[in-house]
Amino acid sequence: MNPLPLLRAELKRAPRTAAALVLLVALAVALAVAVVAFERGLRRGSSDAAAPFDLLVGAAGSPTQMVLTSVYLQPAALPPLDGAAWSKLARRPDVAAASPLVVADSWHGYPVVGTTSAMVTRLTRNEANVPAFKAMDEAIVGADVPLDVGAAFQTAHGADGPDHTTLPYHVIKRLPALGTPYDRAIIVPVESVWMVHGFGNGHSDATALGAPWDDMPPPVSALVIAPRQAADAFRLRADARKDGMVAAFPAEELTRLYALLGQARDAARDVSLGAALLVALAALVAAAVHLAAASSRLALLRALGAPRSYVLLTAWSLGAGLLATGAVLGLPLGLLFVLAARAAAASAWGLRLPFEIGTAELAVTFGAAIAGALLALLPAISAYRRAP
Amino acid sequence: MSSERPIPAPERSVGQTLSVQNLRLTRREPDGSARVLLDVERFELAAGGRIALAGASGAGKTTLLSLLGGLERADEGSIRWDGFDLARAGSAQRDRWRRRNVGIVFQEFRLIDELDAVENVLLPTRFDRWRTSAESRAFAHKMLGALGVPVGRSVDTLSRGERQRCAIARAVLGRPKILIADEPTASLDSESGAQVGALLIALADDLGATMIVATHDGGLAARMDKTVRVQHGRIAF
Repeated sequence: MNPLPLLRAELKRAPRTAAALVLLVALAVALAVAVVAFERGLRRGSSDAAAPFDLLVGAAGSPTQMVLTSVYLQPAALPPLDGAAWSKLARRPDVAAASPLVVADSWHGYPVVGTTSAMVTRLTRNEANVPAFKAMDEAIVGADVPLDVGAAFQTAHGADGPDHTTLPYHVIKRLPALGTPYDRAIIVPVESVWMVHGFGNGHSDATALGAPWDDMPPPVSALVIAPRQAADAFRLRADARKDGMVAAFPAEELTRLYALLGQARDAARDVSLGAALLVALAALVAAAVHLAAASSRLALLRALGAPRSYVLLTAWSLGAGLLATGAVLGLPLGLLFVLAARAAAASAWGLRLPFEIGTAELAVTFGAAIAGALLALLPAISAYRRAP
Repeated sequence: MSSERPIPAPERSVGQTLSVQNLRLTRREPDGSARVLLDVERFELAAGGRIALAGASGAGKTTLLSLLGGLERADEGSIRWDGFDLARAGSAQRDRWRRRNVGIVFQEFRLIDELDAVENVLLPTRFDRWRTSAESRAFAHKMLGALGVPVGRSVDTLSRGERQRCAIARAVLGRPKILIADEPTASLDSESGAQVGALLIALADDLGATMIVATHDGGLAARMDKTVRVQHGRIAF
């Protein structure tokens, strides 16, 4: 049996209907693929961005906001963490490293973060040769900041506030792309931010930079702590909480966010499932209309001696072919959607989401193709039952 | 069509003998009553014979052709072609029998417009094979050439006469033992109709096929062995 000539004829007879059906299915599958791939990419991307932040401690307030501001540099004013409190924590023997973080200023929308060069090294996962800050006016910029090494600039207060008294910074290093919001960050010595805001530099020596600081250093937005051991992390968090501070593992906060994200994903999945059902319905209606139009052709086949199985094969091949083609085209189309969403995520959050085809996307695609092949049986069986 | 082009001689087959007895086909009406569509007590045709069915529209000619070609099954009676009783055969058996034994020509040609003439002629060969044999393809080309049908062109660009000749080529490709035609000249002008009628008879002769034609065309009917009238589902000899 060879239904190909008839399939070609049917496609020539109604090319626009066939193309519309393929496109509809492709869009429905693309939507589902995009939801799955984007959600996974967002999880991995956000998780990677949080990796250098073992434990975050801030003033009483929302731990989620602290994570969003410190890790993802979302513009929001955090309550300042008192200097004595964070200084005490930073000096504990179970703390391997403590880096103050001040997120307060910006340059043309790029956030300015005051911290230490040691923290910058942690942000790069020790992969970039990060120079130690030697002067207050030095800045290290992320890969997406349009400032070259040697360029001079002045910061503004807040996200887009008016200039206040600032230091004329100059760039000493451009970091390689990290795929995190810190690609959009301008990192300066935390002492310079304190100075600009009139807190002094946290040292008795006016030119000193980095740890150790005085017992009563200026306040910070958050303190990033690297505990010596995993058990220390839990003890540090508990102690910080006892002292009225907010302490959070970003990974744990992310888990909560992922739960919310999961709900959003479920909603998106339901929407894409609804779209798929609508497409399936449209496909069935299109098939019914098409079969009605092709009834005399099917009768001709029977009159010429075609067995019912040939009619079944022809009608099924046509429907299954169109639906499966749409499903398979939905995979690259969905990945195009993901690329667009990825660009939007990079622009909005500075997150570089991983881009790959996983088994879930393949399952969606081939599941849709198989479902299409099964769905195509309905009109094919109707054609099969038709008398000559 | 050029009359000088010889029609390629199909492999000669031997027509089949038809014997119909007590044939009855009824349809259930919406009010529950049964309407008799066909009621044929006895009807016989020798192998290679040619018969014309005449009668008014709606008299039952097409229905009778459908039964004789195995497209429909009678409620009662028997239709025996060389001993094979269509009235008792199942759908699949009738399909298979029809594919092997019958060529059908329709009034409105019933070609597939999106295929070219050769593909239309070869269509029945696709029912049980993936590839069409070189012999069948060569025969289709020769036949269409001999009938004056341009090959390689979409059939919707052909004249009505060319389309019907293409349909005839499709009907005889399988060298049928039985040739059934339902008003084969009704859609054609008189000149094309005469050509098609002559062509059908010539091909039936070459094939040795038994031929049954439903027609209003007196010229075509006159060239058959016999004409029977169908009236209200009954045959009058």
